[in-house]
Amino acid sequence: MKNNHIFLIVIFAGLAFFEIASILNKSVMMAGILLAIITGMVLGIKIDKDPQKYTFLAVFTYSIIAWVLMLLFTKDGKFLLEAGIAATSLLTGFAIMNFLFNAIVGSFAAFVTCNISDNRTD
Amino acid sequence: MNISKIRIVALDEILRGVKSKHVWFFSSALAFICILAMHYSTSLAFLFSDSGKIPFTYISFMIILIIGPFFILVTAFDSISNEVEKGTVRYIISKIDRASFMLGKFCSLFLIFAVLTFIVAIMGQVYTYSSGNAFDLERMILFWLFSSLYLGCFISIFIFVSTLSKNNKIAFTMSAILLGITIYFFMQGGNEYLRYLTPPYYAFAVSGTMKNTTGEIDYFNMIRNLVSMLLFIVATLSIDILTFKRRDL
Repeated sequence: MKNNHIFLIVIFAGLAFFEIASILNKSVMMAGILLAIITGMVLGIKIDKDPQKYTFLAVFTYSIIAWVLMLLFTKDGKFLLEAGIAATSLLTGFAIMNFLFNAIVGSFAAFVTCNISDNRTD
Repeated sequence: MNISKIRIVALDEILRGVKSKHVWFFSSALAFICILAMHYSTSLAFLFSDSGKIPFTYISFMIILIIGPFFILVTAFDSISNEVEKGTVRYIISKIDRASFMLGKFCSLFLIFAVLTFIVAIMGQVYTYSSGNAFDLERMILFWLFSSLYLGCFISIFIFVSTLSKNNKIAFTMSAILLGITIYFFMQGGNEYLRYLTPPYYAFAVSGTMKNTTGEIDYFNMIRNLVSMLLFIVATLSIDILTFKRRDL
């Protein structure tokens, strides 16, 4: 399987798991970190070259997509958009910082998995 | 695993290793900063509720908790990756088994920092005595135990990153990232259970006892956190050894 295919599958799986976490009423922050770690582990095993880069991009992409979907299609998002540009920008800034941290956590998980895994190419 | 081989590796690292001066320098710098903070804390006595009883042990404990991990980072990040990068690890592991080599590396760093924190603990008692208060040996021993174990936790996790890395550059970057992740997890607060995976959680849990110079010591809390830290070190070292055994060198 090509790296791009795995990358896309992981993005869709991430979105699905985010939705499951919100349905189960779990902490989104906690779910985001755990999901990033799982994504890193999966990509660390499946991708031979630069799994850290792919994990970072995958986690960041699905988090941004989830954030945009939340803004557009949920009551909370509508409430936030109605609060004005200042509140939306502030919360989006905090959210992006959180996504960056999650992406870094995922990258580290990919680094560890890639080096422990037997499928290393070096 | 062989105790005599661990001792040989540890002694070699402490006394004759290429990096030993570097490690001694940074560990001494940490101790010096702690002593400096205790020395100048008398000028800032108004910050404390009882200016006659400045908590010297608490001041040095907080300094070790906050800046100690950064000193560990600069001393421990290349402990294994440096040997891998230079290729010397192949000669060593042909004579010494991997587990002994790994534990020797850990013990060398742990002993150096344990000695330096012991000196800081004694200096804390000297300052307490010179400010007109009685010696508090219980807190001195607790300070030494917790500081050493706290730094030991970080030594073991940075050795883990060093074991995984191919060269020093990757080891340093990944160690810095891991330190950032640890702080991020610890700052989550609330009911997030990821903070239980971080050594600062256990160390900050006992900082109240170090601050309270007159009250009773909560031994249950102390022992619980002490055992947690020990378990953390044992678990991380086990992962280190397993990872090093799996690595293709």
